[in-house]
Amino acid sequence: MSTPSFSDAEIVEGIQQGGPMREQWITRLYGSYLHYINKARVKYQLSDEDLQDAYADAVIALGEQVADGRFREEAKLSTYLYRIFFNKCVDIIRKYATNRVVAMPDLPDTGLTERDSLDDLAIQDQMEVLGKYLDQLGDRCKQILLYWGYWGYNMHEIAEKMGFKNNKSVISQKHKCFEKLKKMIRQDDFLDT
Amino acid sequence: MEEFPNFELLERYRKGELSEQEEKSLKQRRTEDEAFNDEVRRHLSAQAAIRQAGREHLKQRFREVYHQEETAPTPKVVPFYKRQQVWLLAAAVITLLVATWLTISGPSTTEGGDVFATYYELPATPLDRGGNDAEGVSRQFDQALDRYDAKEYAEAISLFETLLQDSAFSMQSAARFYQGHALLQINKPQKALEAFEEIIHPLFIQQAQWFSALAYLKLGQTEEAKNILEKISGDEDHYQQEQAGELLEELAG
Repeated sequence: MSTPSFSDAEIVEGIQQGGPMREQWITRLYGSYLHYINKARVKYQLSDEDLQDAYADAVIALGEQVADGRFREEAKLSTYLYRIFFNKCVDIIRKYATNRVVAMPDLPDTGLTERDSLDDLAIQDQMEVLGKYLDQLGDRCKQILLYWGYWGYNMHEIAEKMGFKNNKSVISQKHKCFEKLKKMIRQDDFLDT
Repeated sequence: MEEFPNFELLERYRKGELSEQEEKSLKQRRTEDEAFNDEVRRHLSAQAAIRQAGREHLKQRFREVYHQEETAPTPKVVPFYKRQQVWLLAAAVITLLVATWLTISGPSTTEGGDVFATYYELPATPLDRGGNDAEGVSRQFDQALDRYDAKEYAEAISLFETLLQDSAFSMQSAARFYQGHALLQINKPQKALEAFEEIIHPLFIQQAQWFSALAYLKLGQTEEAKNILEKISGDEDHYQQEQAGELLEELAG
């Protein structure tokens, strides 16, 4: 696997501009450091599935931090990603260790406290339940909410992508879909906020 | 929006954009107004649902990339009968051919357009174009590549474009790659650049970057080309690191 051919500034700018380019740049970020999985495989002897999950979660967490403007550009993206990924590997090892007595490998002293909302297992379970609500909305509503709420498309981009007449129609439809989603969510599944 | 009076307020709350006073007031209202509190919780939970669905979409996308990457061949050991892998092999072979050709011939001029002609070689398509897509989509891709091989570039470009709009088509990066080259052949380097910029598969990214630099040279945009070449020459794992360095020296001279 090659090292990345994009500068941090390009990746950050690509993700932060939102819209059609965000997914592409996050995927580029993912592809650029896949060799971290091999490093972790040797060091921690986790399963491929666990490693892939941990790496994907790390990239998503970093991608969201960049998108939301929470990424502090004090460290390189690669360094930051490495730390998040290895923290996640350690979390997995600890999770297994609580279920049975296992020898804990030497854990990296990252000296870091970067955590993200994916870390809390209870919240993670709750998020998974919530994510399923979108599937019940129908494809068009799901898509419009994802474009707006996750990928950061502006109304004009959504109109073009989904064949709406104008921005006003998108805004109206987006609100309807969002309200529909709000009404669907059962109180038991509310996030603790 | 009048229909949804609290929407903007709650979005600002979620993003942490409320002033201290606004936030205090909102929290107070939550304690006093059960219906409002319910709405806040629904709003935040709905946003969390969207975020989770986005994450799941990305994880699925990553799985596809990972498995493509996992099956990426070392050219000498990949059997041709593994249809999916042949595409990846093709990319590696193109890389090797270009690198070898450049080593043998070397550059001869510093003029942008001439340098392009000196360095550029049209990549051939692989003999086996199989993939994991449905038969109909694979057949269309075959047709597009046949047009490319037959040097009927305008038709090839149009067929690639149709495929790229098809959500059932998975070999987007390969299609963009050959579409970009077809566009270069009909002297549309700007459009070719746009195609190369859309390439996301890790195995094609380095090639897309190299050919983007050449496309800039064809456009006469030497500074843009140099910017890319500098990145390539600074990347010790880039297959064109050495050539990019040489080309930069040529352009400086």
